[in-house]
Amino acid sequence: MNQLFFKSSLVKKYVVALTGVALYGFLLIHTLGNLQIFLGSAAINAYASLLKASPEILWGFRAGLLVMVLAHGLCAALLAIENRRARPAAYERIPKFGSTVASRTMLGTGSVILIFVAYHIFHFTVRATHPDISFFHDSHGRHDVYSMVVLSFKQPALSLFYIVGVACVCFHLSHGVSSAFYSLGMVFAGYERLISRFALAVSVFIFCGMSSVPIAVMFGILKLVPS
Amino acid sequence: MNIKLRVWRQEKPNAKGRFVVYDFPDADPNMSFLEMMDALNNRLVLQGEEPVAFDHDCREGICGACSAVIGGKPHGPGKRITTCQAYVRAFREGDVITVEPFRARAFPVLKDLVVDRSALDRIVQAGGFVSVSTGSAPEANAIPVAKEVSDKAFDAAACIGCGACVATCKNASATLFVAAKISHLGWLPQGQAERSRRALNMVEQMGKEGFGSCSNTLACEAVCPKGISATNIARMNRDFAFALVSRAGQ
Ligand code: HEM
Ligand code: FES
Repeated sequence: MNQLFFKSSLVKKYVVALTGVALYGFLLIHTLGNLQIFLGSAAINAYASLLKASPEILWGFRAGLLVMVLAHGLCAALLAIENRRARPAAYERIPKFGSTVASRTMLGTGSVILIFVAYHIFHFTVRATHPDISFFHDSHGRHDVYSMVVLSFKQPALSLFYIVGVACVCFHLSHGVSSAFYSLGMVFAGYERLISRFALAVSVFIFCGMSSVPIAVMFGILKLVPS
Repeated sequence: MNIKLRVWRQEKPNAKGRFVVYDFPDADPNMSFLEMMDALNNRLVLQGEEPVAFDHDCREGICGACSAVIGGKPHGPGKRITTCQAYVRAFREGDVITVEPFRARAFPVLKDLVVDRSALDRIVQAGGFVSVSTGSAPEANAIPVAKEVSDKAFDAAACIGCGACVATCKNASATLFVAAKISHLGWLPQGQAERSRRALNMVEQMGKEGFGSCSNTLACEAVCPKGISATNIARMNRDFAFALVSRAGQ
């Protein structure tokens, strides 16, 4: 491989965009999966145990996600360093004309996502943060994901943390999805509006889908059913 | 009109600069912004002070020489204008207008508001030549070019290389400039022979000059005096990817 390949900021952008889009695809499936909680405890518990049916596939998937997050974060951080170096003397009045807040705060929202996802994994995957409510089993002997989720989100602080975390992810995506179209060279004259609306629509969809679970628990729509 | 100008004064490259406030109690709203700067300089010369150095040439928005970030926007208030097309009437009574040089590592300040933009010229040089048959002038219709294609090539070629895209970009990236330069030849049949090489070399030179990368904030498109479309950026990303792949295959 040649030098240009490793040094070019465009190649790093391709990595950020491709991994970002893949993570976004994962997030979309994750959202649809989560929404099954509204079908009742049996449905979500069955779905959760299906996901863990094969350790090979499960760990393969997890490894893939980890590699993508690392590649995305690493390339984004390298770009951010280059970008900071490109303007050593700051403006007194920073020109903001024509850009969105989301597009100017990608590193910030990305960093919050990192913290949020780390906590999320310790909470629901490792089940280390709330062990008292995380290890129940349902009548089929499956891990009772339903009660773990409902009991977690009965705590307003935790619900709020999740809603803010998900909002950050979606804010990141509201620019990220349209940005990826540009980075991957897939914007054609006349379609710019459509692409930014699409990015906004998917972000709003993911936000509504993800945050509906803690909100439904807090409003008593999702509650514990004696099993 | 009563206006105050807060102008960046810097004696020479690498010297420490500072803002100096100049009062304009009787600015004529029909003056252009640069005429106000001329009036300021006349006054400074009469007072025995050093006039403010600023770039300008055609003063009709076609050469790309004028620069400066005026009130937080390259080329001052207004859409699709260059600094020489900004008017005093675009400001309000009592405004304090901050005038700063374009700031980027690749655009070192030479003096006051004048920056060295030759990095952009070196990127164009890196683009290299276009192979055309020499000899007698070719017949006008020998190479057919569709109207839509020539329009797109022309839109990209409208870039005057002023550097406003770099100045406004949060990353001080020259991506819109480079994308326009790659596209204007890339659209045309005459530009096909060297299309890959041009994309690789110009992007490489852009990196060497110390510009940042593109975050697709599209601020560049919004300030561009010629309204160069950011779709050229997508096109550049596409050309560069294809060029990398085809070079790897050689
Ligand atoms: C691990 C934490 C994360 C960090 C630190 C991070 C950081 C960033 C940064 C700084 C950018 C902008 C790059 C640029 O403007 O040049 C970016 C772009 C992007 N991010 Fe993230 N991000 C993270 C997680 C995510 C996740 C979880 C997703 C998807 C669900 C995602 C999707 C995207 C997309 C689609 C882009 C646009 C790519 C482009 O600019 O072409 N990011 N990220
Ligand atoms: S002086 Fe020529 S474009 Fe402004």
